[in-house]
Amino acid sequence: MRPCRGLLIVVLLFFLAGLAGVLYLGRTADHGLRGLNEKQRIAAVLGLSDPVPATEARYIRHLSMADVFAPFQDIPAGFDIFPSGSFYSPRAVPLPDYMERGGK
Amino acid sequence: MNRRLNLLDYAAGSILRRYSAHLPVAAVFIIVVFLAASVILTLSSLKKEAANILAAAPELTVQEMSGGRQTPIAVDIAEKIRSVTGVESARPRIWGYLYEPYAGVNLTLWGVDEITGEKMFSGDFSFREGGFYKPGERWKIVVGEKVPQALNLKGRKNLTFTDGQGKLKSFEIAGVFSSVSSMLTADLVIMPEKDLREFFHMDKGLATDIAVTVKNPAEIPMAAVKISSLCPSCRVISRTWMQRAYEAVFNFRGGLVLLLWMGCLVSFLILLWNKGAVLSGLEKRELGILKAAGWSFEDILELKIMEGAMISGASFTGGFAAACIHVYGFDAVLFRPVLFGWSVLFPSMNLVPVFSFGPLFLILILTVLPYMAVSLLSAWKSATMDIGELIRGEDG
Repeated sequence: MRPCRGLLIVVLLFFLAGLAGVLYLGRTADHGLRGLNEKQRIAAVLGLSDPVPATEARYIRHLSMADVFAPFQDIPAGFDIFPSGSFYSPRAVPLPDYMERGGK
Repeated sequence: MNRRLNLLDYAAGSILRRYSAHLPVAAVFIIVVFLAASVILTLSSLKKEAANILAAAPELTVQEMSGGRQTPIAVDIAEKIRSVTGVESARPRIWGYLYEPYAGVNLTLWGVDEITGEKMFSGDFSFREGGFYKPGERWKIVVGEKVPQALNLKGRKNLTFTDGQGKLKSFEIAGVFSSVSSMLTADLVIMPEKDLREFFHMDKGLATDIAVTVKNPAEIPMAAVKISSLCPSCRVISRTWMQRAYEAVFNFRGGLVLLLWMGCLVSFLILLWNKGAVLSGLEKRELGILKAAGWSFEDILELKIMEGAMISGASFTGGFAAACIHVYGFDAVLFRPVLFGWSVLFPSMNLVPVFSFGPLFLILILTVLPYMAVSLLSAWKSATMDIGELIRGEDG
């Protein structure tokens, strides 16, 4: 067999793999988009604010409501013992604009 | 055209003939691309997930602060907030956490008032089992997909939680959310507000926080300022602030992981240099014979470019495809220990494919370009060498 045929077979295999990949992605994308829509609707009705990245600590579960200024802070990467705390940024929650400008 | 095809033929043949020499490099290439692409794909999907949920979150969340800690807020404040210009609604929320010591699970308990309960009951949401409880029903709960499994219920419909005074309260599961919404609902236990108030022993006049919706985005900052002047002890969290928080978190994390990946990339480049700078005797002899048979400098360069393009193209595609399968097919299983830490209960992610071309293009440039450069360099070196030297396999 000439190597070119071998190459052709390899290219064909890649093409098939790619096609399978695209089909698979298309399927999951459809499922995922349906999920995104559904999640948004549930969040809107219930008034939820955060996804569930990890549930080991409350400041990871509701990241958007983590404290930044209390002593013994409840923030990621504070003095804590949870592995995920070392993984999320300590500057996760910047001060809101009107506080940064000084005084409310 | 025919010359090109023949060259292609020859290049493919030479790769197949020397597969044992190319295989290790291709394997490392695939791993390097796989790691970086996995991180980037996971992060962009998680960002999309957070952005999607935050888009529906209340524009402002008002919390009562006392001594630097969050405390329950007076429901009356919601009435005052409603009078602020631009505010569409102010809804007191009752929610909190429950640590279930026997299973070691943290749950989020969420109270639902009657209007919301009606919307959830009549809305079209997907449930794995049952559905939302009928409005007005008491001591019924709707739980996230992972809750029954985490609490080891084994199909039982009743469960008991211990409240703050050590009393047992029993609940009946009316429905379990499907995995479609797992990233939002995995650890939720939704129940009527009245029941949750009783369970938390919270006074009628108090709530956990107040969710405020503001229709016009331009009015949000002003509304926030007015609310904090109405209630000086309150903290007002705006949605843009939450969005920025999530952006910062994911960028920080991605940057950290990619920093580690740089080490990987450098060793890959060293491997490439090592392989490319020193041609094996066999390769030299082959090139020598080709030159002796009348191949020109350009022919040899072209041949090497084709070889390099084939190997790097296939490796990049392979690595990227593997990353897609890992992230979307297997829910980024390799990153689970870091993503979920010690959580006993974690969501099924069902990540949505999001392709950000910038970072992927960067991986392409960082891996394919050096590969091509090194194979070209070695080809150029040998193509300029003397035929006799090449065939004898001497160093040059």
